[in-house]
Amino acid sequence: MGTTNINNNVAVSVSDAFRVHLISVLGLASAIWIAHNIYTINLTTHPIQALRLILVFETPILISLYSCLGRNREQCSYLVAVGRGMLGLLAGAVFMVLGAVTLGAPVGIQYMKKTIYWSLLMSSFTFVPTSCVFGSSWMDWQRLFANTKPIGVVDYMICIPAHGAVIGAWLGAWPMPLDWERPWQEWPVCVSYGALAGYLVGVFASWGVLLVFGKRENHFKGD
Amino acid sequence: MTQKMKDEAGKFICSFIYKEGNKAAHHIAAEMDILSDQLAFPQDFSYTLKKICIADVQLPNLSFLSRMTPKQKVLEKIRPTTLHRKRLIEEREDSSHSNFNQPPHVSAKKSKTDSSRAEESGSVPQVAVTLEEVQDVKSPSTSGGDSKTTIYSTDFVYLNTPVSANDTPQYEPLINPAVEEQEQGPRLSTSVSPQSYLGYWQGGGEDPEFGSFLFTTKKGTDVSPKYLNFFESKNSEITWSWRAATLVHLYYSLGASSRVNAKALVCCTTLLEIFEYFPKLPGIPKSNDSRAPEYCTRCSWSRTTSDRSGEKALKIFREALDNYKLEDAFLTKSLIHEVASSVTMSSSLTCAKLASCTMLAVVLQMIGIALFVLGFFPVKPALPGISGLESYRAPTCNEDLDANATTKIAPDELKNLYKEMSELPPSYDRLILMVVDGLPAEFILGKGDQPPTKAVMEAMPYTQSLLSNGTSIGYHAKAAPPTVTMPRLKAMVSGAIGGFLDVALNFNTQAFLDDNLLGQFHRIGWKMVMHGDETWIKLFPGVFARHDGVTSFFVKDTTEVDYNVSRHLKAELVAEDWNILILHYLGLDHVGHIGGRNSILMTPKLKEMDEVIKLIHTSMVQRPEHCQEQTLLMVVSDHGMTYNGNHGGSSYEETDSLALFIGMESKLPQDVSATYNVASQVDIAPTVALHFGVPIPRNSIGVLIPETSYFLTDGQSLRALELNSWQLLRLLEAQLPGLLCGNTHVNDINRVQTLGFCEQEDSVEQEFFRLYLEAVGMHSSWRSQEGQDFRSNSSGDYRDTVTAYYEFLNTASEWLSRRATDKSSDLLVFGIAAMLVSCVIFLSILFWLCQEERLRQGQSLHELDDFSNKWHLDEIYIFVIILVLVLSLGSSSMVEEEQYIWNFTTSTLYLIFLRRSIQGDNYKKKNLTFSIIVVLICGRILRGWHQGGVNWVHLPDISKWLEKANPHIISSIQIFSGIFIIILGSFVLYVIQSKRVLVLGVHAAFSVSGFLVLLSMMEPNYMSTLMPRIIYVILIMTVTIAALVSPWASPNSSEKPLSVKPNSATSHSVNVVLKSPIFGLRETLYLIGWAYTVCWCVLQLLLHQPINAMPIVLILLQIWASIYYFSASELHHKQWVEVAALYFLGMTGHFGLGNSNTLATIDVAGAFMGLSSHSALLSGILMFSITYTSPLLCLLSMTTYISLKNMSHLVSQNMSLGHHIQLTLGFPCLVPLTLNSIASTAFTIILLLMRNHLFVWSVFSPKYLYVCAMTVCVYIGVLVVFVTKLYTSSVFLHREKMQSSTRIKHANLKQPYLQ
Repeated sequence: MGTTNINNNVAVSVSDAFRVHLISVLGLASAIWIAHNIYTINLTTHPIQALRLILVFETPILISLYSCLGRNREQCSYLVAVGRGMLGLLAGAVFMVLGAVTLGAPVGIQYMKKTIYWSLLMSSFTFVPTSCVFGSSWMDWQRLFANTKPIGVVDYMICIPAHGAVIGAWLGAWPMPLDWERPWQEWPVCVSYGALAGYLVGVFASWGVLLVFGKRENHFKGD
Repeated sequence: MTQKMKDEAGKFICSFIYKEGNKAAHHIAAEMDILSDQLAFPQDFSYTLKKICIADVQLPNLSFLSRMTPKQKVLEKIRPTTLHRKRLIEEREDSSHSNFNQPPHVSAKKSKTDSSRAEESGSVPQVAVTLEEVQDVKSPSTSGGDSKTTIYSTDFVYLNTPVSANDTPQYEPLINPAVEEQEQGPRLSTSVSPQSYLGYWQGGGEDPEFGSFLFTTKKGTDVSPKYLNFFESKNSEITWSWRAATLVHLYYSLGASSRVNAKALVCCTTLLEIFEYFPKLPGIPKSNDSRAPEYCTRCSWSRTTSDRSGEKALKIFREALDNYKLEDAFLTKSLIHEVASSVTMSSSLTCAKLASCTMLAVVLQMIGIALFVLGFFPVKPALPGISGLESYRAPTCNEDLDANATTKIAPDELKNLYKEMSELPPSYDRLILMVVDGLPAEFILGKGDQPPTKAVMEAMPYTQSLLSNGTSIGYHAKAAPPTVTMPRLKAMVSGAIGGFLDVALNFNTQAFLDDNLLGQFHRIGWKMVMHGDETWIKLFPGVFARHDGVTSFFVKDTTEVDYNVSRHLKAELVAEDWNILILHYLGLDHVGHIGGRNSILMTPKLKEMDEVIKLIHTSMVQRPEHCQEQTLLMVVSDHGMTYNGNHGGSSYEETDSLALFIGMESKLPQDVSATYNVASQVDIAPTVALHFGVPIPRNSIGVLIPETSYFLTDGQSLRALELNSWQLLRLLEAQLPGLLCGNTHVNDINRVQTLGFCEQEDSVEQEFFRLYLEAVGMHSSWRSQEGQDFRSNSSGDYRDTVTAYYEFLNTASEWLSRRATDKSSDLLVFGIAAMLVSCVIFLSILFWLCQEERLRQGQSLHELDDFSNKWHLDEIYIFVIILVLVLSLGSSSMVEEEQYIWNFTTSTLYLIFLRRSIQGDNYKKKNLTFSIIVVLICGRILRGWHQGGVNWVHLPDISKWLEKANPHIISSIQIFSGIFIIILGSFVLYVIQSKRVLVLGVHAAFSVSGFLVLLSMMEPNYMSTLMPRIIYVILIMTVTIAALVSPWASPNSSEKPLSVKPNSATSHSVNVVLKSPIFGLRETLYLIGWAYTVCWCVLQLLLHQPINAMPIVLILLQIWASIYYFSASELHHKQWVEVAALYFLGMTGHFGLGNSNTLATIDVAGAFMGLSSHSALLSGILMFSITYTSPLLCLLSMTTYISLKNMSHLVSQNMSLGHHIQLTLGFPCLVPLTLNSIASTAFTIILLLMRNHLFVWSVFSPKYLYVCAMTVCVYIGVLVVFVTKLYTSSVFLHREKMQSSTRIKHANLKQPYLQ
């Protein structure tokens, strides 16, 4: 069981992982830059628009990048992987909405749009890469998210940033009940900031992890 | 030596197999079946066998185990390369090589592992059997010729113990002393049981035939058929040492399997389970789950454990065995008994110790909290009632303070009476009290000898001119902390420094009920007008004839607040109808909060204030001549501010408030400095009272401000001082009983003189009384002189009298104020120390319990995935929650909005449980996942039910929405909730399929009370006091009967046991449970727990407001769903995690019911349900139960939790009461106590640190009351659970003893063991 995974992941090298991460981080940065400088909006003032802009930039990038990895892995067609990514985006959004509401996100018509955009963003950080690469393989999903036992380069690439985004969003919710009366305490502004920060930290962490362990994995696999 | 050791080793293993009893025998039999299937001995000799290792060699005495002592060296793990593998195989094929026929010994690449084995660990332990050793063997039974050839290719050994095949197993209990005495030599009952399973395997048990057993290895080499003659029937008479051989084979297999490419383990793994009883072998998986053999005796890991974790598990086995010492393995018979009974003996001792430690910690915590409360909230005995006419009479011993005497008199009459009796005509008729919030006296008067800064001087030219020309006199009026507006206003008008507890005690009203100036003025019929801070209106509702309140809520508004006051000013100054005008300007305080003392807004604001003063003063001066009334303008501030503009603490800047008396024109002697005087804020009350002709408020500790009496005549001023002294003396009498009465015998001046000479023996009372009498004596002598000659030399006497009076007044006032505000640091330190000690005790007990549990339970084999990280995510997260809670207590807004924290953390905890429930194979158990989802959904609805908190309380929530909607909806929801609880309760009760009379009776009583509650819901008017009382009685009867009677009435263990549904998960556990009396106990506890929870819920449905009916149902549902999840899941959360989760649910529910950390949310209405007369105790109990519905429900449900928790793996047959209680009750009692102890200790320390915080009285102190109440709540809940469990268990023990005494007579009966 475990060995098959290792064999499949041989196709993705550490440098591929760096490239994918670099492009996704650049995409995110450019989305934020455009939001700030061209539309002069930010998450605090226009949460919906800013989230939409980030989504429009980041989701296609993530889908296309990770679909490549998925194709390498299972020899399925690129378009199928893209389609799985789209489906994963929607399913993940539903999942994220449920999770957020469980943890106390406000429910109401006026929050609906914000919640949806936020959940799409969260979904594209977490569900999209996984569904592009692994499709609906329960074992892989379980390994990555229930057991958190990544094996190989692709697993690390997906698992750590996704966990980072979720933990970041969780931590981002803490200032919300404080009575500072700052505009960024609104739902989902600080949660989105937390998710973005957590995602970035996760990306860098997975770089680090791959740098440290990647060499060894390679050696082991080449043997 | 060797022979003895062999015996011991064999006995040891056997005894533990025996101890496992039926279950172990089953396992071993199954194991043997598998092996025999694989190795079915073929009739055909040409059949290729795997290597058979049987030889008649001496047991290598297990010393190889101790040989591999752990070294500190870096440890190796082998990663064989292809080359190595090839070489190894070659080596093994090559008969000349030393590795010939050995398992691959790889020492190729070395990398770090956590193995504690030495460098040689790459290889399988070599059971080095030398020829010499073999020749030592005395066994004659080994057939001669073949034995030599056997020796050289032998890996394994067997021990030759003479055991007769006809030795049928004896199944006496191990610790039965009668049996022990019979045991002699090889006929020990303990040593024969392995034969029984071997016999079972081989010959079906009737005619056991020993000696035909193959130990397989994975070497892949074939076995020479020459060994087969060992299996010939002639050799079956040989007695083989199976025990030792099995053990060695196990060890060999573990070694072979721990190599990197191993995926399987072929051995008698039951022995591994047996090792759990070796107390020095931590980390060995234990048979805590009946699924263990299923997974580990198969030759593959694949079902639950991946190859990686299997490797890890093997490594752990190996390490444990490597570190196993000889002295651990070879136990004497007495040692075996010790181990066997250690469970019983040691823990009955430790149980008592545990209980006493817990009691000690609880007592310490209670003492600590009590000391801290006494120290932090000093309770000063206040005089009740209101000062009246008696304040113009000298205090006497035991005087009757009839407060109502003055209320019957009409205001005008009262005013005149006061005037007459006081012999002191009011100096003024009108008072304008201008309160400038937050104005430091330094701005007006300067600091010390320094005049105020130039900028400030220039900002207030008019005020400064008033001061310099002597028409006004200013004071640094020292304010007592907390320097917050409301307590300061109270201090100003009452002259008393209020404690926190008296605020807390009348939490339902904000009105100021103590005796105060405004009340006195109101009583004499004065008309009062108030403009400014609405705090005044809240404090004195209905007192003001006109008022315009402004709120201090919008701190950023610095102009509107003051404009709203000033706009009335012109009209009010012209108006003639008021006697008292109160103006409260908030702007300056707001300026300070925004920008501090040096804010650019400060100068304009000061100018504005100056303008107001100027306006008022000019209007006073220019009053029409016909008005004889004298007007006094007092400019005061309630507190100062720090340089940053904050206040609340006790620094000089904050306490430096202003008292400025304007309107005493040309009455000040020139020698009196107008600016550098120091007074106390509380002095304002007596000064105003004396000058305006009303009695001094009863609890005032103030002293008449000296300089204000200059315009009085000497007699008047002495009279004023006398009145003030009387008032203070009365207050002193209240605090020091016996001050007056104890000293009456010295009530003459001569005695005073003598007393004056013996000061050294003065107590506080005597000192006060001496000072008082001195002053009174001088006063009377002055008075007599005045009568005789026209003050010839009275001036000196007068001065002396005044000085004497002030000496008394100041001493008394200082002493009183110190008593009111000083926090006794000794009490605080001792209190916190006691709480810390108790917290540490709780934590260490809990830690010890965890260790104990870990040793006992360990981890079952199918949980090997988690072997590497001993800490699960949920366990770590509990610590995160505790940390977050402790930290959040330090932030005032987090304390205000605590409901968010609880909901957020608890939901996250259950999401983590959800994640856990889809790990591994668990996702197939849909009902577990479903039960967590129920908890989460209920939690979310609860969260939305009441918005709660302080800052966002106005946001919409379900309860507001329902209240706005049709009222019928609420009542129908309420009725639905009632019906739902009844149905749910019945369902949960009949999960026990017992239909005994008791269960039926309890259920009937519950249903009746439920329907009565429903009835009272439908007809609220029908709700006389009778109905609730009937319900109370029925509920109390139900619970009492269930708790007291059911242990006696439950079926005993010999009857057909009834299965509790959630536990019928595995047949094995039920098997064990059936055997033990534990089962009946559990069923009884289930019934009692059920009665506790449902009756509590029904009671709360009655008491709570209709809107809260649904949340109660939701909380109950959450608790039952979690208990179901914990009992049915085999995820094996640590028990403390489960209890903590229940506790957190309780806390979340507490806020879900609409509670908050302000005292305002306490539901007082329900507390009088069914009470005909006001009883503070009963209504207090009801109020407490309403407020702590949810935590108490959770704590009570611990009984159900204990009953359902599957402890079968921990429960042995012969377990003492103490041990049983410790096992089942340890965590459910200790975890809530510990969590509460951590929270209360942390918050106590935080409260001490925050004592100068702005919100210490509004946020932190109410929260502290909640913390104390929560502690009480936890004590009550835990006590109930503990007593219930103790009572039930001892009843069962008693019954068990009774039964066993009758059973002894039929002791000959033997129960069949192998079923």
